[in-house]
Amino acid sequence: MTETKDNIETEKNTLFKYYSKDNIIKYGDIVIAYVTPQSMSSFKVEKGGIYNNRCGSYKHDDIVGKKWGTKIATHTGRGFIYILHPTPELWTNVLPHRTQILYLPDISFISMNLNLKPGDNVIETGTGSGSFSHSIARSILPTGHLYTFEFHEERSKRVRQEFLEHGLEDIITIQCRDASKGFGLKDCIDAVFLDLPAPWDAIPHTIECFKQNKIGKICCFSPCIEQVQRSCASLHKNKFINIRMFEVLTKPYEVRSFSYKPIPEIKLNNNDDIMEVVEPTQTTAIELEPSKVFNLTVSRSATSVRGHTSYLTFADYPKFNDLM
Amino acid sequence: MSNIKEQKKSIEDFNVVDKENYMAPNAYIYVLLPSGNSKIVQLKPNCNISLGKFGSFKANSIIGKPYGITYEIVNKNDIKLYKNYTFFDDFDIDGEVTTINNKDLNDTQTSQKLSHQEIEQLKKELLKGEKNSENVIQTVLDNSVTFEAKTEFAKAKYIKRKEKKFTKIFTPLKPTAKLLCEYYLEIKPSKIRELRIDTLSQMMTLANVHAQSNYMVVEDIQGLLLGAVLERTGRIGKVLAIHEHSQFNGNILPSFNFDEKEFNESVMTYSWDRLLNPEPFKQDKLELERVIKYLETTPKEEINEKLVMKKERYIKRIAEGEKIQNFINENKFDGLLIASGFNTIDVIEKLKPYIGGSRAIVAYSPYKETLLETYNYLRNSPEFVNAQITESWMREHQAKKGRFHPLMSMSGSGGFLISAIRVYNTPNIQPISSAIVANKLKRKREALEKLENEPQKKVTNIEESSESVETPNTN
Ligand SMILES: C[S@@+](CC[C@H](N)C(=O)[O-])C[C@H]1O[C@@H](n2cnc3c(N)ncnc32)[C@H](O)[C@@H]1O
Repeated sequence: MTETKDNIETEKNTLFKYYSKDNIIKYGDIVIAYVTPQSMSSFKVEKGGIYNNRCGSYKHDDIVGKKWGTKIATHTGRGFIYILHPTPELWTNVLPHRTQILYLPDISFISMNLNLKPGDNVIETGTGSGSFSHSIARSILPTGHLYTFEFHEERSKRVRQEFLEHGLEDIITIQCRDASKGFGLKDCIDAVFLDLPAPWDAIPHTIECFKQNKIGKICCFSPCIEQVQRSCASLHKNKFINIRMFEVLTKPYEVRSFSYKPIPEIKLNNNDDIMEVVEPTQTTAIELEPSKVFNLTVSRSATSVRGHTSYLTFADYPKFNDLM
Repeated sequence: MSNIKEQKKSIEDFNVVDKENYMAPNAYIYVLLPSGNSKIVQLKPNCNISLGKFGSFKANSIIGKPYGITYEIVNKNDIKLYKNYTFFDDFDIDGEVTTINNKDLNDTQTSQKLSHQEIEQLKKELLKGEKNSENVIQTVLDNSVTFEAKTEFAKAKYIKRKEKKFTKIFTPLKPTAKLLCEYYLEIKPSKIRELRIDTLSQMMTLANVHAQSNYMVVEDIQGLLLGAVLERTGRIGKVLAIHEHSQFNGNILPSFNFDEKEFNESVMTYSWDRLLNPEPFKQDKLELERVIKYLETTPKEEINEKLVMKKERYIKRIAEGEKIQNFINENKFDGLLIASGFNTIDVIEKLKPYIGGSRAIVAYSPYKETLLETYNYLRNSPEFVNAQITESWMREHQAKKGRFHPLMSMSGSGGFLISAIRVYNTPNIQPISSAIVANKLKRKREALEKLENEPQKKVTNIEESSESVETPNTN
């Protein structure tokens, strides 16, 4: 058994590459250990490695050779995990937070509005924890390129290491650089994403980066309305057009089954003409109207949900020779 | 100039290489109008393109130009560059955020000295190209009694409004999934099942749509979902669209301007009939055999040409179908996206064998109720984890200097998504917690069945059958 496993070659991982046709987990793969939606983490599969969680420990060697998506038990059989293939969305759920990060609703909406697609060249700043970077890279591969800028040295080092481990170094270039000093790129960018406290310092520098003869797309991501106001003023001053601002959230629903409480009934007792109050139980109610009272499938939004992330400001920069 | 007959051009006369950024002959364009309205038109060479009351222009005058430039229509149907392109951006309508009294203003029709007929006349002259828009706007402003009295902000707003009404400018844009989704939601929401752009965008990420992967799509929203997936994959990788009837209905697809070759190489359409049939080509093959036999046994002179063609058609159809069936047999898909009127459970039940381990499924519905049973199904299924139902909420804000606020009206719901990840469950692992839940459910079900089998039971005998059903507290 172990011999065949050793024969499975360790090839270079790219986080989002289509897993091999045989769908088999290999040494060196980064995997997501899924327990519940709220409880997942990631690790790299290594020879002799052990992964521990609350319910026990799992041998890496037991995972290798299995199909992606397989359920693995602890040796005591008490706990289990599913081994999932990483995606940018799962990575967002497990990544080590060094900063605030972007989540799925914003990531999706921004990607769509910036019209990200294979082949696009994108600027992102600040890189932060790299949550959105992974998603951008996924959307623009195999021919696009992400230039991401993070002026915090420690953060930029850690995220560079992650990109490397995830095999994204060909798609992402990370620079430790202050975005308010410009990007050092000219006429090659399709879209820009700004997630930093003072986007207006970076906005003027984006213009020279945009490709010639097309509309350059920008999105500024700011939690406070005062930031949005300054960004919009800067966008306007720098001749961006179609300035539009949105908020997006998703509301998760809980699904339950529900039964009505029956109303008490008065029944005439035939034998001795005495009125009797019948306190119905759930069961009598079922007898009366089985379909109506019992086991309705209902849903409601959670009592507490995310109410705000950031405001998303979009604008276009028409960079046409004819117009200049 | 306009009297001279324009030369007819053929497609070869336009040499458009970069079709992503430049308008090719016969491309569809999304025309943005100053009113904020839009129109989708095809750039047929040598044709005149009408923008209704905004006038018309010649397709040839913009074919070969980059998308995104703004033009003004002058002299009937000539166009010129509109350099004042920040014109419609009324972010910075100057003037204080003021409370200057405008109680004396009366912005009804009577504050305009021009009669309705006179304004209509101006509009006509404008359309004919006899007057230019600036002239017209000035005339309207000059005749506005209340204009001078207005606050600066109101004045600026007023000018913009008039300008939007009278300026014949337009911007041709490349139709993208985003623009097409917004466009159809506006003009024919039911055609796309009221799918909103934020929800569509979430489908792309939930299903991890990207190049170099294969997806399965089940949709009856005119090809909007298929188009959105193809935009994201860049036609690198395969997309299988499962359809009802004889072919996939993709009315919106041409507007995406996909390269025909790329499209054909990337997209496979396959009918439910074939997919669910253990011998998908039996019928066709029998028919083909019959035709072949007839052709072989009939003297050449008597053979109808049509029958020969029919034979060729069958051969081609079977070959194409078998190619798809082989692909399905040999590959697992990297995601399943659904936006259809089918029961989502049925679709998932039928298609889950084709979805790879650890790959996602995502289904859209405008109605949450239709997804609740699917949710229970996915939750209880050992083949799926991470089941979630979400509703998207989106709000646009007015972004104008000193006047930031949410727009006064918004879309009430973006519809609902259900998503989950496909997994493999080793049968001998039964987690303790879920075993307890399963046992509970089983006991409940048994109790219910018992009850339903004895519906006429007397009220007084209730105690006997109610041990496992909770009795409401009567205190
Ligand atoms: C909120 S985080 C970005 C999170 C990121 N979008 C994600 O999804 O993980 C903002 C980052 O911007 C960086 N930053 C702030 N100002 C910057 C500047 N002028 N140039 C470069 N990076 C900057 C900060 O160090 C911080 O890491």
